[in-house]
Amino acid sequence: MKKKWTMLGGAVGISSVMMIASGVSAFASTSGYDAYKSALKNTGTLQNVSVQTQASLQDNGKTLASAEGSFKVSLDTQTASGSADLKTNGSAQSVDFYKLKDQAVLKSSNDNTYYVEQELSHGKNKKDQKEKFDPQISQQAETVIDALVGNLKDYVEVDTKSNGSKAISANLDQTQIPAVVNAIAPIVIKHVSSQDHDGEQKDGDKNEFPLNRDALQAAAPKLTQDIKIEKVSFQADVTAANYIQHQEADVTISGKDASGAAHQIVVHVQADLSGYNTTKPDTIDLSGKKVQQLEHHRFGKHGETESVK
Amino acid sequence: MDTMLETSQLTKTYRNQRGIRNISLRLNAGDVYGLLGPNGAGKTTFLKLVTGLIRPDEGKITLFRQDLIDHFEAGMQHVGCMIESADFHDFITAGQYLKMVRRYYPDVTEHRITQVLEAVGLISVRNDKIKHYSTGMKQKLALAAAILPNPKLVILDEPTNGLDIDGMVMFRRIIQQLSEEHGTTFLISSHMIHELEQLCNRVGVIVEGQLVREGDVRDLLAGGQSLEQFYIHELESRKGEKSVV
Amino acid sequence: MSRWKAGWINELSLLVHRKKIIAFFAFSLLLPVLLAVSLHALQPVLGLVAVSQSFPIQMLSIYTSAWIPLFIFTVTADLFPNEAASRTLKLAFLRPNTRFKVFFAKVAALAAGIGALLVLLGAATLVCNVFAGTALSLAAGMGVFKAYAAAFVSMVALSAVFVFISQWFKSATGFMVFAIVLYAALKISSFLLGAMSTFSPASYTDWHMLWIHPTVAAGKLWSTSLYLLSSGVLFFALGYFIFDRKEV
Repeated sequence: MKKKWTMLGGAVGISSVMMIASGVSAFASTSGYDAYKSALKNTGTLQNVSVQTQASLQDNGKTLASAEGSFKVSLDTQTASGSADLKTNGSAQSVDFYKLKDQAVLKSSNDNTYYVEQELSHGKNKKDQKEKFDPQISQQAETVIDALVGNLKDYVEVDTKSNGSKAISANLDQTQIPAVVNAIAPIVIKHVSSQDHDGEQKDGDKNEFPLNRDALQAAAPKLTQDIKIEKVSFQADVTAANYIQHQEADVTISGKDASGAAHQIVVHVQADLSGYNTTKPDTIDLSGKKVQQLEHHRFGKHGETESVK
Repeated sequence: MDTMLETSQLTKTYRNQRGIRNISLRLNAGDVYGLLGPNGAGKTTFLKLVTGLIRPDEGKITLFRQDLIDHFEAGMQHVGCMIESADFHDFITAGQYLKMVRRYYPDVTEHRITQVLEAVGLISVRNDKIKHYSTGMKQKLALAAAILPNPKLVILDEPTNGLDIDGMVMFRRIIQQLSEEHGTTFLISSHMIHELEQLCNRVGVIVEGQLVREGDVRDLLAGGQSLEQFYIHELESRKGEKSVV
Repeated sequence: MSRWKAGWINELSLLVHRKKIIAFFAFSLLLPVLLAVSLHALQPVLGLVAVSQSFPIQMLSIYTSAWIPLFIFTVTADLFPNEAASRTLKLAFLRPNTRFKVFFAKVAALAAGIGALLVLLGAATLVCNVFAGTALSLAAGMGVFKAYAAAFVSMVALSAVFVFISQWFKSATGFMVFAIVLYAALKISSFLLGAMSTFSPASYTDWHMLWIHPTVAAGKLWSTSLYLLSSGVLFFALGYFIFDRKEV
């Protein structure tokens, strides 16, 4: 009788201690996911930084489109500058832009005109920003994202180098991608790739900035069936000071277009960061240059499409 | 004489203050012991205690001279019981149920199942689901399951509830036969005096949770008293005591 | 035959005599086919997964998040609250079997049921694959086997929690309702409180995903295995503690 209670008490005692200990160790174990999250948050605190970005879209091994950009961003002075090159099926265009305190300037390589937009609602923007960084909301969002990521976060590997920098990577093949993602992603892909090209920029409105935004979309094959995410890989390098230095991601999607031809599409994006807190965005002197004012709604639309991507 | 079951100072109080108090009782090998008492006197509680269904607050139970709780398996190997109502998993058949029971006793043969089903008169319905059984049939099945492993001690709680006259006679015959031919010891609770008078060699009267009187049936009958008179006397003397208090 | 095994076989034979358990198993044979067909039919609308090499694993995630938990609740309701309600617990208690063995036999029957269900679901899913012309390679097959074995461990650990909870119930329906609500609450709670995703056994229903990925740190597998094992032992021990003191 006594032996039974000793056994039972022992089982409860040992297992509850073990449960808490293993739970704590599983909870506290710094996975690559947490390392990346912390670097991302830390990088978000930077006042200014230079960013080099690259993106490309390949279809069955052939590069359909590629884009390169380099940006200098400063949060404290609310200024930014940069340039972007876009190549689609051989045709190339490039854009320079400057975001000054109260105006934004865009210039395309296609002509010599500088398009200027005045910031109308400065105060409102500021308020938006404040809301965006409300710590409580972002904390809540983080918990939700963590829960959605679930056990996937353990797929993220981290390799800490002797100098304190880290290499973070994750590779998911089709089996390992959660069913939910694999269920929803094809709908999104299909929706995006089959969207009608609006051809808006061709309506002759001279007040608009002449960037062929639809070029990329036009270049991509339109998948209609058997759409699958085949592979997702992600890599990031984090400096010893816990800033993101380099990150890149590849997504491989397979599917068939309306004619039944198989496509394997690889989307590649990468970004390199440098000049942490030592970056000064370039400015532009518009005196003596051809200037055209942009209407505000056009810029707003532009921002909208960006957020969709 | 060999002691089959012994309780000393057995006490169990339920939350509603009912229960039994200080019951000390001994069953010798070959005894057919009748536990007599009005409804709610504590007969079932006592039987649940000696079969381990509930735990005593105080007191000790020994089965075949060994502590019941410490040697539960060894003890229960030789005990067959039907306690309280005859409840079964009613979606299986009687044959399937007895097969399940048999698994606990390596020595019991398949043939024994047929034997007990014949004895209680359920052989023709052995492949019917228990949910189609009447109360009396369930009662018979419970007796069959209790005697299946050839137990040395059989504990029966109100065994003839819901039985017709034929059933009662059959029960009595089985008990008598096992007692006479195999020397099986019985502990039977009932409020039916005549039944116990015919079956038992010893009786105990439980009133309000206490064993108020024990006696040898032959002695009682020899004293010119019927069991009924003995029982009524005990009940009334208890009431008398109470009214004095 | 040792005595606990007698009890175990009895519990198993009671399970297979229950119509709803048989219905559960029969439907489990159909479920992969139904899912495959409906996913295929929905493809123009939802663009969902096709039957492919990854189909058995993706189906497993569906099974472990809803179907098997539902099975666990149903069987647990039958094994404990329903037996209390129909006063049939005494049938096992009055046989030469300690309470521990009775409890163990019931839990082992539940575990065997979970195992059988996983085998059945896995087999039916693989058959779907064969019919869709995408039979698995040996390596992929091994991965699937590992995932289903891991799912068994996490499902048994989950069942421990509900076996413990079922000890407080005397009605099968009451327990079922409570179990489903509790399970949903546990699932939602990890969205509200980050720690729940580590400290609640209900968050490990997709644990098998860790086993099919070659780069998951061994330490992580070790600590989560240990967690599931110890939470299983703890809840079974607590469940037994109440079961042992039951007065019937």
